[in-house]
Amino acid sequence: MNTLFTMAQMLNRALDEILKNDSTSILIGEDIGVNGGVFRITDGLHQKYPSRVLDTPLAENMIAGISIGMAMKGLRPIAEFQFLAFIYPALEQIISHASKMRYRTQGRLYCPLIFRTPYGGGVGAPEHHSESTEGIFAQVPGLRVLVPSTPTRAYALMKSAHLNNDPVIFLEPTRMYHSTKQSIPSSLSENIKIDQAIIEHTGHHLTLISWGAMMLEGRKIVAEYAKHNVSIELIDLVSLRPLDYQTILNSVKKTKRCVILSEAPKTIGVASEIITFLQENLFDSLLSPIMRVNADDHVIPYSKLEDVYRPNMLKISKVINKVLQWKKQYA
Amino acid sequence: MLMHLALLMKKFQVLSMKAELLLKAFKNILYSRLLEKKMTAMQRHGQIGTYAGCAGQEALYTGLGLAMKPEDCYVPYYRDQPALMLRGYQPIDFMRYWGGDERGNTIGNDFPICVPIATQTLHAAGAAFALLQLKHSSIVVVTLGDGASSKGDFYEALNFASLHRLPIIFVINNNGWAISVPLEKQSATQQISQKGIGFNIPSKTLDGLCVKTVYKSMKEAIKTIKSNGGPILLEYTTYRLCDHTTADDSKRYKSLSSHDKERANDPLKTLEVQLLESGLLNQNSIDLFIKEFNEKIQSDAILFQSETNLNYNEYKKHVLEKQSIFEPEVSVL
Repeated sequence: MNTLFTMAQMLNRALDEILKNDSTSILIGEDIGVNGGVFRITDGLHQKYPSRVLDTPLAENMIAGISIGMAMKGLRPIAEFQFLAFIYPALEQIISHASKMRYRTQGRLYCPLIFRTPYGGGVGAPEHHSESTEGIFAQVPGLRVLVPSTPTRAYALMKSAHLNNDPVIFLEPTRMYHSTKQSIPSSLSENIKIDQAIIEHTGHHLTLISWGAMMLEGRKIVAEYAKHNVSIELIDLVSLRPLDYQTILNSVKKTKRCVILSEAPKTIGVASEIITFLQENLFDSLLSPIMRVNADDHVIPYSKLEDVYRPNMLKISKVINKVLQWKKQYA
Repeated sequence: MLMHLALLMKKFQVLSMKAELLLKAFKNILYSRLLEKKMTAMQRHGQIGTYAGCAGQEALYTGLGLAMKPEDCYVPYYRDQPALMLRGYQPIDFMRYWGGDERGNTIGNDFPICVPIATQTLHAAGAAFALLQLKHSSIVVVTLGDGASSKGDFYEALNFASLHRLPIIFVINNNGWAISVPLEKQSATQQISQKGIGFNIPSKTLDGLCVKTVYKSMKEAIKTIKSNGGPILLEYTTYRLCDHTTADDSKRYKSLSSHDKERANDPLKTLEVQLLESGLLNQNSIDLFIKEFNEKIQSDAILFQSETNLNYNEYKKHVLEKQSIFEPEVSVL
């Protein structure tokens, strides 16, 4: 029987190989050294590469700022932020410097760096530990915002992100770290196009677009509706910035119906952008309005109410049914 | 007279600044002051946008610029014109930068002019870490103002630099004012250098109006870092003879008497008098320098004014190394 690997293990493997193959790579962050990180993503790496897996002082703005300086002077830092909400002190460094350095200097200087952080809910963490505010970063030109949704994609995406010369916000779905397991195929892909969405399942009645941990629900939906002969095309966005508009457009041109599924707050987010783009380009050919299933437009509650706040199977299927039945109901 | 000159030359050499270097310093300060005059006039005529001058602080930036080696890494903020001139910037670069053209930030190998206050101190610490990690022998010099010493980035950078003994000099231009807020409203310490001590960083406060003092202290700091490691913090006291920027009016918060006191300590005038008295310079040569510099400034201003049709698509190429595979276009309306 094949051994199964978690996303945490595959991220660890990717980082190990990056450190092994590139002497300019360096991991920095809080508790990532001897302790191996709060989610153990860097487990064992400090022992293997003591001078290049560095525990930093507890100052997130500092981690971002020094990463920028390191990247402009020949290193390729990969910095861990313990939780997405803890990256907020570093927003000035990320938005005013990391994202703009290439443009401001017209290509003279740039920041090949990766800021990794777990994000999203579903693990019963205390407040400030379960946010899904990826839209903040997805709105910043000059950044790449990447989200894997399987262990092997996490591995390949991390390795490919390291090869790219622009700043990457690498969002790791907390709910998937240890719960999602995969056997490793004999030919494990080390490269993935970092700005291309993946059509995970082809279908012709409706396009369902998601990313990160909500892909778990997305996969269940595809399987459930298939039982009723409804064929859903499932797209894993992978890159939230830049968005792979071409793949989205081609799919919805075909299915003429689309639902976007995410655990981010509802308004002014990635889902809103996809809907806007589609109605600008496909208005005449759509069979129903494009709809989104998001978390509530609300402060994320403490863990007891998290499951009510986030989209669940019932909420998702209600919206999908509405979209599928639109013409019958309203034509 | 000859003996007098020889004595003076000796005196300059004792101060670790040879006559030739002192002349170079004077020329740089003069050049920067003439450029500032032109930039301010261009702003008043609507030819460039807001401009931050550095009149009164040129001795500091010239001394540190002369002390650095080309391979060292300079991390400036936005008041560093004389140092940047020594690092390769031409008048056209400042005109482009302050006149709204990104090409003004594309010069040499140093870090770009930094506007968000104190954020550059962390970039500098990261750069110094990289130099150490990659076993380069060069050092990093980062500048900041007295106002910037209030920001967390500064303290975080001092902490990290001290933890790893990074090859970096933190240079504070203490001109006494953060726009309109005087230092006594900025900090309860008498000297900003006291703050370095708390991080176990050798720190001093020195006269930033004297180019010899700046040059000598910077040279010593670089030597110390190369032999014993860093970091070092040097606070230089200066006067800001100009407004904060062309958008500011310092008469709203500075008294006329303080203006007079500051003008009496203008480093350009002080050095000019010293060099004239020593015989290293005469009025004729000063006039020739002024003519030479103004001609260059004027020709660059003409070039700048001719650059009217920037190609937006060329600039946009530099947002990401590889652009998106599909740029959405609105196909209707």
